[in-house]
Amino acid sequence: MSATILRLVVKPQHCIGCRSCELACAFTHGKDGQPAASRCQTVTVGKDEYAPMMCLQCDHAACVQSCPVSAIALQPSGIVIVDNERCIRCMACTIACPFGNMHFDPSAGLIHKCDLCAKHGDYPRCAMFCPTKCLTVDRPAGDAGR
Amino acid sequence: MSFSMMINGKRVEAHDGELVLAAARRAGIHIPTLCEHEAVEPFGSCRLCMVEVTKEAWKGWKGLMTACLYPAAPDLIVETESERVLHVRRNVLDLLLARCPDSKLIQRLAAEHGVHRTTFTPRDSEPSRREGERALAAPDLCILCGLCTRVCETAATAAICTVKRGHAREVGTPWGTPPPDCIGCLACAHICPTGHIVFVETGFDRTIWERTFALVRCKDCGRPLPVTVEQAAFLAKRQQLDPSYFERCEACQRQSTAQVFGRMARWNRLGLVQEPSAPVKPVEVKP
Repeated sequence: MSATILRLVVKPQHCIGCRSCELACAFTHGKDGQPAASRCQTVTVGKDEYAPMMCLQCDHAACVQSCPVSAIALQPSGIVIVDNERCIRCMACTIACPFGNMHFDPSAGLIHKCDLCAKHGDYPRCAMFCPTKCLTVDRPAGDAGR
Repeated sequence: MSFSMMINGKRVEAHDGELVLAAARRAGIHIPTLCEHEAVEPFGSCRLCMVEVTKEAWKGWKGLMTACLYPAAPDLIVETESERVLHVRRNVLDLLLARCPDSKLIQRLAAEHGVHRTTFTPRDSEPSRREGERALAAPDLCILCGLCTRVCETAATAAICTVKRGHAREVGTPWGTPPPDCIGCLACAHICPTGHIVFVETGFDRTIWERTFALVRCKDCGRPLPVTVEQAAFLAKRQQLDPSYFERCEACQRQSTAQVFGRMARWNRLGLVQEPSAPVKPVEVKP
C-alpha cells in the first residue's frame, strides 16, 4: 500500500444534497463553473437521501488497469492522476471504473477525475465548502508535518 | 543520472535517456510540434520541432535536429528560436500549408510564424481523393505525421497504416477496404492533430474507416456505452480484465455505488456504525 498523505472522508448520512461540493469543484477545476468540469457528483439515492460521489483513489484501480497507454497512474502521494497529454480518449477508464467516477468532458475533450485538488493548494475544495461536514479531510498522523 | 544543459541561454536539468523536447517542455520552453504524443514513440515526421544544437567542443559547428528525437546530453547548447531555426520552421509550415490549405491548425500555426499564404501551389484537397467512395466525405487534412498509425499500433490492433508511395502516400486501410482488424476505438480520430480522420456516431452505431460497429449497450439501462463491442472484448483481453468491467454505463455504476452509500448512511443514522476493522454484518435495514 502506498503512503497516503491526504484522505477525503465521506459521511453520507450528513449529506443534504446541496451540491456545494459540485459547485466548488467546478469552479476550482473549470473556468466558469460549468457542471461538466466537476469531478464530484451528488447522486440522489432515495427520498431526501443523497450521496456525494467522487474518486475513491483505489490502490488497485480499475481505471489504471484498463488504460491501454498507461496514462493513469497511482502517484506516491496515494492519488490516482490522469495524464491528459498521454491519454488517447479511448474511454476505457470511464466504463471500467466500478464506481462511475471517471468523467469525460466532451466540450474540453478531456478525462476528468478527482485529484484531491493536488494542483490547487493540496486541500480538497469540496471539503472546504461542505456545510454539514459530510466531506472532511483526514491526514494520517505520520504525515502531519506536510 | 541528471545533468545540466543550456536551452535558449537557460540552464535546464535533464536526465539520462531524455530527449531535448521533454527537457525543454519541463523548463517551460515552447517548441511547436504536430506529430508528437506522449503515448507513442517519437517519429520525427512533421519536422516542426527543429532546433539548433551545438557544443563548446564542436568549434562553432551547429546542427539542425528534431527536438523530439535528439537525446539530451551534458553540455549541449540548444537554440529553439534562432534565425536559422525560424527560417526552417517557416519553410516547413509553407510546405504543410501547400499540402493542407484547409486545415485550421496549420493556418494558425503558419500565421503565428508569419506565413499567411503558401509560396507553393496549394494542393487540391477536395474529398474526391480516394478511388473507393469514402463514406464520410471531408476535405483532406492529412499531413502524413503517422500519429494515427502509431497509436493504432501502440494501443490497438495496427489496423491502419500508410499506403502507396511517393506523392500518392496516404493513411489507409488494407486494400482500401473496411479494415478487418479495426476495433472502432477512435484513438486515431482523437489523436489526429488536424482532424482528418472523421467518424459518425448514430445512436447505437459508430462508423469509422467505412466500417460500422455496434456500441456496447449498458446491461442495466440499455443506453449505448462509448466503446464498441469489439473494443470491449479487445480491452478485456489486452488489459487482462474480466469482460464484466466493460458492461455497465458510468451513470448506472455511480447509482449502484450511491445505493451502498445510502445504505451506510441509514445504518449510521440507526447507530449501527461499523468499526473500521470489523467485518460488515449482513444486516438488512429496511428504509
